[in-house]
Amino acid sequence: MRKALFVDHSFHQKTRSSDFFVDVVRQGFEVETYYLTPEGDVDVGVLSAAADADVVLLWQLDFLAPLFRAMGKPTVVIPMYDGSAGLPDLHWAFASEARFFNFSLRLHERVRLLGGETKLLRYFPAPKPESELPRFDSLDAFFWQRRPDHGVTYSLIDELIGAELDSFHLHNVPDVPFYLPNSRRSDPPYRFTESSWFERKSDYEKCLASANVFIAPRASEGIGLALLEGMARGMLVLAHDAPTNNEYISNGVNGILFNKNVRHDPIGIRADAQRMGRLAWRTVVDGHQRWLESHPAILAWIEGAPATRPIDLDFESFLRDLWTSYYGSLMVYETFLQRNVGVLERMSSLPLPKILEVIGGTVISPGGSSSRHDDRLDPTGLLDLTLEGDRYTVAGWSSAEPEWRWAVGTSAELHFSGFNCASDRARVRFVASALPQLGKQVRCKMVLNGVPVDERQLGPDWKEYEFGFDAGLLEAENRLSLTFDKAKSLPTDNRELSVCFKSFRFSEESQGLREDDLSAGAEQGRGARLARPQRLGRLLERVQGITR
Amino acid sequence: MNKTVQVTTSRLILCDPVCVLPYGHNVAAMANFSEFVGQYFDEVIRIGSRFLPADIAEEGLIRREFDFYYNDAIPLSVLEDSDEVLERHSDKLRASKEDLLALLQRHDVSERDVLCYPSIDYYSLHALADSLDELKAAGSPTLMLRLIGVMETAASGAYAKPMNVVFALLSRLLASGLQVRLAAETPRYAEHLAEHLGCTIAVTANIETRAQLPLPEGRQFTVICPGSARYDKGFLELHEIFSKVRLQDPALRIRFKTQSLPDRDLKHHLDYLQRLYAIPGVDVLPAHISSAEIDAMYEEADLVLLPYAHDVYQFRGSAVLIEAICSGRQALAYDGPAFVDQLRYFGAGQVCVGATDMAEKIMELSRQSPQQRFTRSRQARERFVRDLVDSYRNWVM
Repeated sequence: MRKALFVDHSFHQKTRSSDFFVDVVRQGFEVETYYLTPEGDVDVGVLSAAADADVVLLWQLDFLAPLFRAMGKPTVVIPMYDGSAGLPDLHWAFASEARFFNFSLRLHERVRLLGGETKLLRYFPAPKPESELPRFDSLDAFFWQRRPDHGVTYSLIDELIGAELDSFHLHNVPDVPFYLPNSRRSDPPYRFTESSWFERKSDYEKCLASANVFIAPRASEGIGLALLEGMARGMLVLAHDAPTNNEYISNGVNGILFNKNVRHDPIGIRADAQRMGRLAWRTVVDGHQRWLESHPAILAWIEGAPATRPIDLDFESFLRDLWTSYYGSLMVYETFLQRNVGVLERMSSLPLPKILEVIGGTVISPGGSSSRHDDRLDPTGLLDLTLEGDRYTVAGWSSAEPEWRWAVGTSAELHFSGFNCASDRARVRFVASALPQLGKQVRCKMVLNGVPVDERQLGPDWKEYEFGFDAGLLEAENRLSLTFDKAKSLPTDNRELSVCFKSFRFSEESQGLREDDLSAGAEQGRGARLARPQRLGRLLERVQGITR
Repeated sequence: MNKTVQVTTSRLILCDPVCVLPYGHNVAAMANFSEFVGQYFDEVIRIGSRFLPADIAEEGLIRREFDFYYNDAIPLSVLEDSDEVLERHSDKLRASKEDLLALLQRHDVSERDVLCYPSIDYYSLHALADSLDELKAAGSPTLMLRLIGVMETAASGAYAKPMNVVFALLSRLLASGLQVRLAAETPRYAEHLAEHLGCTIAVTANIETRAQLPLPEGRQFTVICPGSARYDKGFLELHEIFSKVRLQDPALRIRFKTQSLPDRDLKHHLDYLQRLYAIPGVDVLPAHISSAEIDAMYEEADLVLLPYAHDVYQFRGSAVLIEAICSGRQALAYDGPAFVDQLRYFGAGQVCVGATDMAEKIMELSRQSPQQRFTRSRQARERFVRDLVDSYRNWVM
């Protein structure tokens, strides 16, 4: 039997949360597990362990992929959304010759669009027998407050569903020390209990089994084992709307998604709790069967991971530098990767221009060039950023929230089409609010199709702003780039936020030439206003059907 | 199919510069036209793009001769960073004419030949209309042009009203004295063309004669959306449709399979894809899948969804509808597209007024007996195939 080295985070030695996957690998490989402790000193023993293995599997420690690829080892990487989604494209380029398993659709698509070979997996635990599913005569919530630093807190849950609960058990054991002011209600409408320690696992399970409403404890997940456990028990599961929570829960169908960053009205759950809990359980029944059926394909994917020619490198030294830089900071890690582009070139098949594109911020995507999509403005010229989906947004935007959309980072881009301006000048009205934590004002510059059209300060209150521009700048497909002078992450939101927007509305600034004026102008072959190519184009369109 | 009397013309020369991708309908159309139309000729020559992968070309007996004029609309990975890309309209006009003239010479085209374009594209049409003297000098071969409402207007954005230009080019050909036989994919498009051109236009649906598949056994009812997803094919409607069905079918008896958007569009819609993926009982397949996987989709399917945009498909047919008819699967479509006339005429499914209605009809159909659905599909298929055979014979003869 071939040997697989399974390299894992030492934290999982305690939680056993990777065991379900190792068990699958054991069906086809002799598995040696090697735990690494990120907070500890670098453990170079992993190099000799890898030397004896036929294939190396990296659970969550995706940053080590280039090391084993450099050694020429077939390498399979299993990154986790919560740990790796924010890593730069160059991180993925360094792992590009490895094979991936992704438990998150979002991460799977990112890796795939960057040219990686990835297989999407969906794990589901065994469901509880139908006879053991909870009743919903009362609504009893269980919430393990694991990451209050991420903003999923008791007070938030109380605000969302407290009014509907009959009981609420808070297991108050954060993963990391975090000070949270006591926001307990003095007289809650439900029976409140709290724990900070379970003597035995069975005590925890007993407590969980007495509830029928489960709140996913973390803002985002790698897989979401806790959430899946809740679904497998037929509980009503509520989770923050982020991967992988929102890849298992369809809002209002088999659970509820909320946005921890938005002040919500209370969510009514009583009427549909049983239906959603039952559908969550069905999801797991169906998914678990598919998970079992996927095992042969998992083994085949590992089996097919290609070996490469080892490159001449001091692996121990490379590991030490890689380790130190990765755990230094994101900036240090990026710098390390950029400094080692030579290593990347030697061990990957990516040509230098592609590597430079990645470093420079242009993603590698098959089929490459951007293309038209359905980004037409509505008939009133409205570009509504609160619409679900990414109709107009290209880069630098959050998902649509109920009333706005954040520009994430210091630049963002919009595409739009379908604005037929018959006037010389066009106007834009937009509604925006800067992040209050950024101070009184955020400087915002807007560039339309490469030409600056507006620059101003935006304040922290919702306000409508307006500017005009030369309609000749408009093209069939338009690109509006926004840049901001600052952005900031918050204790409860690790995104770099700058300004949030509701909408842009495009209109003609003045009546301009009417259609019959154009025809007359064409016949006479004169008219100063027809001199601009844009106008001439429109004229020809009317007369001959030709725009250029 | 009974072989009918052969016409005296010796060769059918099938021309398709858009036959360039290893997947999609163009390669399949070459084979289908060779069989279906080629039966009336002594010899068939198939000519596609010079960028068609060599193995696919060899397998499909397709000669790789045409340059590629549509990289802006259909970007080819093989042309990424290549200096062979034709970018300007004028370059494309020149290249397409050169290709046509080279074809006439290379294949020694004569009056006994037919140049047949299964789905005429803009630059080929322009080349024909701009080469009247050369065509006549070659002996005036017969031209059979089939319009499907897709590539004939793909003039690189050079015209705001490209269909007017298409009418002008067709009129020029019709007035030239050459023998020109026109066909359209849908009855509605044929009527539209006839009205503008003042001549009769044949109706020739997408060629498909695959055998009717038995309906899948088991308690599940599988609904599919085959084909690389597109906005105008209703991809953004699917979440609402699937969710509405899911709420009415919590036992997950009804399953959905859809393909994803191509990468260039997907990057704008990852949030949406994620929400679709999260609906229980929904399988999202890649944008491009093998023909074996497509066949497997139809085998597993009970029903095909076509929530296509009525404006984009105002005159267009749907290859998926034709595949569904021939596979023996009923379809549900939004009202408005031209192919809906065919769906109605052949009794190939039902027409819906929106997502809610489509969800309701999925529920209704899932409750019908497989035998009932099979019988209805068989009737539609029989009528369609007979009509198809007649329509092509009439077009050729």
